Amino acid sequence: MKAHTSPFLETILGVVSRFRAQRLEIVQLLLVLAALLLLSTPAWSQSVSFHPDIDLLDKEGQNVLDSGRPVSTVRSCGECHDTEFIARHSFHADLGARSFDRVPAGASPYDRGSGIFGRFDPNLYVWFEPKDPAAHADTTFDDTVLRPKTPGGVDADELERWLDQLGRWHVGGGPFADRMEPNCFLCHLDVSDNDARLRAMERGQYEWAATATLASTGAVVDRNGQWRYNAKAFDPDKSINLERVRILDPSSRSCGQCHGLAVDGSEPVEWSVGMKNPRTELTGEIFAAQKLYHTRMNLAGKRDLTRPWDVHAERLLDCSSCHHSPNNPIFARESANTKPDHLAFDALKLSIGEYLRHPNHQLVKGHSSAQNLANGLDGSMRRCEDCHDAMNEHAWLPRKERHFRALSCEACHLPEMHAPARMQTDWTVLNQARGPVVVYRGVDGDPNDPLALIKGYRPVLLERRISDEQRPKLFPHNLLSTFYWVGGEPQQPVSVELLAQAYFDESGAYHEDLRKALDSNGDGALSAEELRLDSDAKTQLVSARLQALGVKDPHIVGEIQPYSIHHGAAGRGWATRDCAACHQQEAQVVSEGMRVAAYLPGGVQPAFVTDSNADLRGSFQRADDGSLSFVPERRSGELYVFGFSAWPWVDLFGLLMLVGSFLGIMGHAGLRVYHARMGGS
Amino acid sequence: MSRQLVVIFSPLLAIGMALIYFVLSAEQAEAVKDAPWDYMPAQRAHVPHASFLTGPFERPQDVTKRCLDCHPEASREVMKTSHWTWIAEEVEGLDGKPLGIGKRNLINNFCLGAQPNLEMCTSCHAGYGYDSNDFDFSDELAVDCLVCHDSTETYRKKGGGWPKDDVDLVAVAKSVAAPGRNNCGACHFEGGGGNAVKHGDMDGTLHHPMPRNDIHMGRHDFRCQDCHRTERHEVAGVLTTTSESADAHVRCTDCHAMDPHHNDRLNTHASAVACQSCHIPKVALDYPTKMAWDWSTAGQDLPEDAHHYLKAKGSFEYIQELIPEYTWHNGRVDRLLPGEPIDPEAVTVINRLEGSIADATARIVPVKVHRGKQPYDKTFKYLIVPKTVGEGGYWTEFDWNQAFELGADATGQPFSGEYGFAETLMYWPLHHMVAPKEHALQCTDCHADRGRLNWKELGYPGDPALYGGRKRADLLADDIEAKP
Repeated sequence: MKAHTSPFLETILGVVSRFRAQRLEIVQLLLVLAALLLLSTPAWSQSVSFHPDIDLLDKEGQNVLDSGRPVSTVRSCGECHDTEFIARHSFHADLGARSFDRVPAGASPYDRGSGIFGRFDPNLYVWFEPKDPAAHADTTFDDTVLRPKTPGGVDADELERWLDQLGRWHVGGGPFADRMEPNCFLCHLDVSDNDARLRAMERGQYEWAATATLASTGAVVDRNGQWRYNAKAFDPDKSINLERVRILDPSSRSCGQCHGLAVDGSEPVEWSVGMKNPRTELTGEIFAAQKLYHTRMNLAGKRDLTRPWDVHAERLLDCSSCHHSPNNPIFARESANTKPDHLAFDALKLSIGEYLRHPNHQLVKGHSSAQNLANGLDGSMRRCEDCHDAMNEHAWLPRKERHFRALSCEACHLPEMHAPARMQTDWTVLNQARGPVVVYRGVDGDPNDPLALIKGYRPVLLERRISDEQRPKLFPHNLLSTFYWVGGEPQQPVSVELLAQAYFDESGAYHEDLRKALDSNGDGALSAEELRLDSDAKTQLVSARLQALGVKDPHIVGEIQPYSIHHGAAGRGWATRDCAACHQQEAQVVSEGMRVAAYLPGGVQPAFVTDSNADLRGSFQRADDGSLSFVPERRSGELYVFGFSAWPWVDLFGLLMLVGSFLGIMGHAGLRVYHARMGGS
Repeated sequence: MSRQLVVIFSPLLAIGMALIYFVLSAEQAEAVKDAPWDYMPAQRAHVPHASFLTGPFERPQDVTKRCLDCHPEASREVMKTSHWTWIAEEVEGLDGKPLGIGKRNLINNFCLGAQPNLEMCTSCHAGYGYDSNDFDFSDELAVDCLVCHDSTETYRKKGGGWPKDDVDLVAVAKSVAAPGRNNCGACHFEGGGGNAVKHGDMDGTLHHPMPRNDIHMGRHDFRCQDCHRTERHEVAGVLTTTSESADAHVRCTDCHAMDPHHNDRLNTHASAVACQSCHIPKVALDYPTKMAWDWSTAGQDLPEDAHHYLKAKGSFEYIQELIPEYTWHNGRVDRLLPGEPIDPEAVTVINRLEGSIADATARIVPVKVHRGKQPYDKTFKYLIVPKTVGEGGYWTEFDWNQAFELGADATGQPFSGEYGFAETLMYWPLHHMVAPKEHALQCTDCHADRGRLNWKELGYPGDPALYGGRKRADLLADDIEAKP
């Protein structure tokens, strides 16, 4: 007989029946079962790790079981891999520190770098104080950051503040290499414990962050805020047993720990608000194989949402399938720009061994409309057309080449986002948690309320020129407005600390005059709808308080950042394939604008950022409810959409043809009549 | 003038032809690969029979007699089928002689066997009076037409296959029509003695199913015979628990194309995976089905619960929303025959599904695996069937020895007087409760870490999505033999 019960399961069943017969206590039975589960390798576990056992070493090269000191990944992993190389070159470790104070053209005046280290992201609301340009014209990154005491450079306190506020997205190394080594475990351990890592960082135990990531393996335990090694989780030779601790290529879950919601298990997808999952928060992108209805989210029409959250996740791809290491011999390919014309395939590649010694962690990337980090790598990743032969598909689509010239794959295959996304971040007011008021699109009511109905939203299509293609293509985007106070000389955003002083008294309550001004319904409490500066009086009140705190010329600015959307792709059955969606006068897909703000704090009209690669030509429309929408210029824009666009010269040409034809016919007929009357010869 | 007409209409004609070409070429490109409706048998128009069957009918046989007045071949046709004979096919017996096997004489690991218990089991026989081995299988008037053709949904049978006392024979007879799901379901949905007990993929929800219960019956209102095509009362299909043959299986490809998906990668699965494996992700959706039956615990005065323990029957395990197990199957079955020796220390497979990864005709199929612990003769080392119902039966006397002796009298398999309980296993391939395609399995259900298929047990070196299928991995016996 073919055994269909695994030996493991049979063992359990056997023990269960014996325990039943002996009528032992259920608690004992459960304990035995738990022990069996812990000690047995699941028969269905199928991923293979060839990684040898690891000796966890501290910075001195001593086994951590002996020293009790934090694990040094540089020493431990460096036994085989060139960790110095890995820590030195990757933008994940660098986060823009390399380009500090060399910001690209069009950057925000508050940017001092192009990564999250140095770039002012109003959603995160963290920035570095501007340096004095005269005093530091010749300073370098090393001067300003690595030697933070340099006058006018970045102060050590500022670095600490950055680490405290944004360190959760930093894998280690780079500007903080002396505090936090690159955390190899965070990405390469299949059970990395990010919660433990964050706990260590919150306590300021940065040197323990990588070690804490091992907590889920049992090798280290959090005992009263101190990290202690568990010798039982180690082999007798003091190495880590990799039968239970698997070191693998980064999974989608690994990437998702910092980038956005990525679920590679089978558990229902669960969404929550906050910048913990930034891509999901900003665009609604979720990378998961589960079908949409397999979620705890209260999705509208959930029962009929039978597509997966992302068709690529469903087809077993993970983040590294597209965002791979550039020298991974499995995926590596030479850029079309540098590839010799006579070669279709270059067989010269690193051997697996060489690659494992020097794995390039400068992961390949696309062309983001919202990021300027590592722009040199733009377009290095595999895009849809690198794997899919769209011309061999889409049999239903007429004039395929024309469509593919004008449309990105995402334009049709991301017709709708099913998770909410931010529409507006308002730092002109502070909520009770000292955070901004955030307005989401795609959800009815408070997104924190599990009963709020999530309807999703349709991204707006904006033209963007990517790669070396000549023509721009339409890509789906979310438009997010942010509003904040600026002031001082030179102008910079008003810090949360100052804002908090402006809004709250010493007891933590809103200043009474502010509360009265904002409390529209007079119930004594300030709801999210009331926390907005929607009149001059309210704005002036806050402005006066800021001035009283020493902020010179405080005023509100607003900016709109387009976020391109690439994840959460739908398969063929769910993609846009209705011709009328684009090719008619009322075509929603091409004509529809997008609401960018539910209200305008201080009546300030936001402006688009100036460093995006999206075509942001269009008009703003203010609705009666005070909201602001952006409508891209499409009807007479560069892109001619048959049936929708109205180019005046095309109309004129058509009219001329009509008139010409009419005149021609009339002339011809007239001549014939004339000819007949004249006798015909 | 005619030249002018040619000049004017030629471009129009050319434009028109070009348009027609584009439309036709677009249609061809979108040509539907899978056209199941083209293969659906046409349903005959119903002829109301009320005026032909006015009664009165003293006995149910009188109804049959009236039916035969107009359908004189009907009884003889029914009498050739396993619904009547309870013999599915002829195989080679243990003594080398031909042996008819079927529900009549085979042992299972639910109620164990019909032979000593005919007075109850035959409530699902398509005849009247089969309550002992003396039943006259040649009596045309004993054929029960009504059990399959009643459309009042009031016709119910009792022991021996007789209609229950409260059945209105005239009303039922007047209602006769082509069989509906209720007719087949009266027995097949209740297999094992209750709703959903035996099959897992057939239960009472299929009387009036939702699409999620079964796409064919729930969305398209299929009747059983739309797939189990019936000619002269011979219903197509094979019950893999009572026969060994692979000949008469109903197949998805009777209607669907072998490559029905738009995705080539999905179509290539068809060479190794049965349609059911992906399209029946779960069974027993609304009612739990029995997964294990331990007869050895019967007879104790323990708290009783129909889903856990009954003194008459022993202990049970039930599961709702059952995720199937998966195994290779080439359509053939190695069936345990009456009197066939077993190893009581090992798990005896009562109906071993033949096929393996090396068998090119085998596919991975979803199965419900029912595990039993049932009586065997310690001396003769074969499974034995007790008499459970009726006079002297275990369910009233709770005396195993008496029940086995009475059982031996009925089956002809001697009982030594010493009995024990051995572990057994039966496979129930799953064919019904086909989910809407949107709910079919996805890649990650099988190919991701901890997917529902255990590739190593199925014979693969690893996940075929990464290692390649059995052909690429050189695992097919034919390919190996074909090598020089």
